[in-house]
Amino acid sequence: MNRRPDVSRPPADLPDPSLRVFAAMPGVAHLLMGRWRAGLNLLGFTVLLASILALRWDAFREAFSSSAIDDWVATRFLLIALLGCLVFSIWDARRISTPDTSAPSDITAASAKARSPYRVAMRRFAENTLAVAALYTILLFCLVAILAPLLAPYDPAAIEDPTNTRYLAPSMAHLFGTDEFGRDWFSRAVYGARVSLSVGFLAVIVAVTFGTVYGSVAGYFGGMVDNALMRLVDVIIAFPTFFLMLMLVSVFEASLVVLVLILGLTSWTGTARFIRGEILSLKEREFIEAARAMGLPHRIIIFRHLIPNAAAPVLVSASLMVGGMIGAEAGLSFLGIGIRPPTPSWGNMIGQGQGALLVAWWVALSPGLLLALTVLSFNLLADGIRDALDPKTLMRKYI
Amino acid sequence: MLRFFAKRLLQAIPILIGIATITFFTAHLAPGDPMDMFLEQRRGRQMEPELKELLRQKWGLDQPVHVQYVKWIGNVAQGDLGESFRYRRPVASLIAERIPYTLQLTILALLFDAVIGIGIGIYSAVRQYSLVDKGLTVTSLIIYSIPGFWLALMLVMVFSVHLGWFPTSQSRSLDYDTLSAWGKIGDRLWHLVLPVFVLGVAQAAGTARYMRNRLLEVLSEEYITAARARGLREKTVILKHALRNAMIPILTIFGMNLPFLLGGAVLIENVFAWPGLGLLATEAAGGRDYPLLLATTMMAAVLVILGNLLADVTYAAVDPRISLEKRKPA
Repeated sequence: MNRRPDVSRPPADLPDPSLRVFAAMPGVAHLLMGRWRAGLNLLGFTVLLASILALRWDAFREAFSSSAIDDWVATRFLLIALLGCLVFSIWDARRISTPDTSAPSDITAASAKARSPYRVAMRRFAENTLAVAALYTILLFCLVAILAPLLAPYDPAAIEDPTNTRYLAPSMAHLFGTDEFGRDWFSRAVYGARVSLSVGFLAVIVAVTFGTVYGSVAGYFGGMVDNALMRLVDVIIAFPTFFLMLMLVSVFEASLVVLVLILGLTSWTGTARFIRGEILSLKEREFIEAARAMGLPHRIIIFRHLIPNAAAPVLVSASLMVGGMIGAEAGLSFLGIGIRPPTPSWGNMIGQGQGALLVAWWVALSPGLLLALTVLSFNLLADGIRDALDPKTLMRKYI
Repeated sequence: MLRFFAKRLLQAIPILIGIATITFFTAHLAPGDPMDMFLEQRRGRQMEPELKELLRQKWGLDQPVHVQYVKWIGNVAQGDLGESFRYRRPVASLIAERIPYTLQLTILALLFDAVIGIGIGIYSAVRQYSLVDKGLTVTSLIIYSIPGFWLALMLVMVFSVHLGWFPTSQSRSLDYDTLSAWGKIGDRLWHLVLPVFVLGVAQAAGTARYMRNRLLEVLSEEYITAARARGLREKTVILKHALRNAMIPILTIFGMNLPFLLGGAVLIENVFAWPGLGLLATEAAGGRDYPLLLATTMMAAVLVILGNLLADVTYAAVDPRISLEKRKPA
């Protein structure tokens, strides 16, 4: 548990210079030098990308020359990521094997650096197996979303021969089976990951940004402004959020952008309340007084001095919110008013599965499992971040 | 007590006005005016411009927005929520029909949440770090993360379709009217099992997590050590000394859970074709029945306010440290 800080490790070198040939493979150099975590990460990621490239070579070639924007993004991302692994691996291996002269040689300075709150939090997070597993799952899903055109074995919208391909049970040809139109459910699920993840992330960004600005304005100016702004928050909190979303989605024609805005702009109240509380206590501190005395404009004080000091807990609530947003999008799409077919989203896929429950159980099963796994991962990640940042347990263990 | 209740009720009034205001401006920010929305309902039918103008006047749409707003607030205050496009009936009576169903569902789910959540929370806290505690913690996190509407579908598939233990949907059987009085109650409860379970279980998972942490916090207090030092039995220490103090904030949690329960009920009611407020709202949203949609959303908010009021009052009654007069507005 109490591993020594990373920085105090002596520079390492390859055990045998003749092994340099293998060290060109990303991660191998790290493994040979005993940096297991970095080595396995680099090696695993490279092997994953390379095997996608090799196994889906035909799809890659076709997508490479295609003019569609998502094909372009997927193929270029794959190439750049592979190249990035190679370059980073070599650069990092060199950095490790050469003694660091720029850093102070003083051992107390090094250990002070290792005990900086950020480092300590990172280390504590890395020790939390569940949270790390959740992080990997999320990264994997993000990768799937970006590389969707390369990974999907079929066109997600293709309705070729429904009489022969409808409601096929899961098999090697169709991992998740097919739906009533004979569409490959795995391909649709892969594309659905895109919608679910991007809506989730973007909506949280909207909510957290708006909530942070709103809450800090209320907390910083106080008095009448605070009173008026927070009364509005009281009113919005009274609405069951899902009803509010339902109303807004129905009134404004829901495109992807509108959906993101609606999800975001109905979910910022928690962040606003929290930030306001933080700002109220922060603004009494001396450094803010100093900033005021220097005559800095309100804008600079709020954005440069107040918000960064209240940011860490917001990060936790943001990662918790992603799961909720993905769930809300799925719920709306399930009801048929969020993302509408033919665009696949896990929510509308489950909705389609509801109608087929008696004849084809797999239609509802697979998108739901993916959805549950994603939301679970985000919740575990949030737990991990919170535990890692919690100063109460931090003190006890490391300082 | 009565004075406190009246005071809280008065404090709720500005929030109610705020809710009505937000709903009003949502309708007015929407692309197109209510007239067009109404016409959209009758697609394909031509309407003479004169008739259109007449309807506009009848609904007061020719007046400036602030006049319409004042009128709307006045109408809402009198319980007149307009007329549904689809049902051609006063919205208020439609909602009144559906509210009992939603209340049945949410109140039973809240009970389930309380009993199961608190029970599991206590058990986990007392056996902290045991295998059962770890298992329950992980299980509750998983259940908390599963989307309720999907869980509902899966349970329907297993318990209704394959095993045939519970009905797949609706709030009563087809032969409901022929049943005896007890049979009717039984039939109702039989239809409630799955929806209540799905709605309550996710909240119960959250409550269990909260309860566990809260009880552990209380158990590390000095007065618990003192109680143990006095030689009291562990059971007495936990049930009499720790639990009472851990329970108080749980009440607020139930107040906070209410919006989520109502929101979750929308999806669950859809899965089970349960004729509550949520199903009504979804139908209204799908059919662009704006008066109905706005009114159901408003009613849901009103239910949340009433629920929180109830939680506040109970909280004040249970916790002697809170002086009823000096409580600051939430």
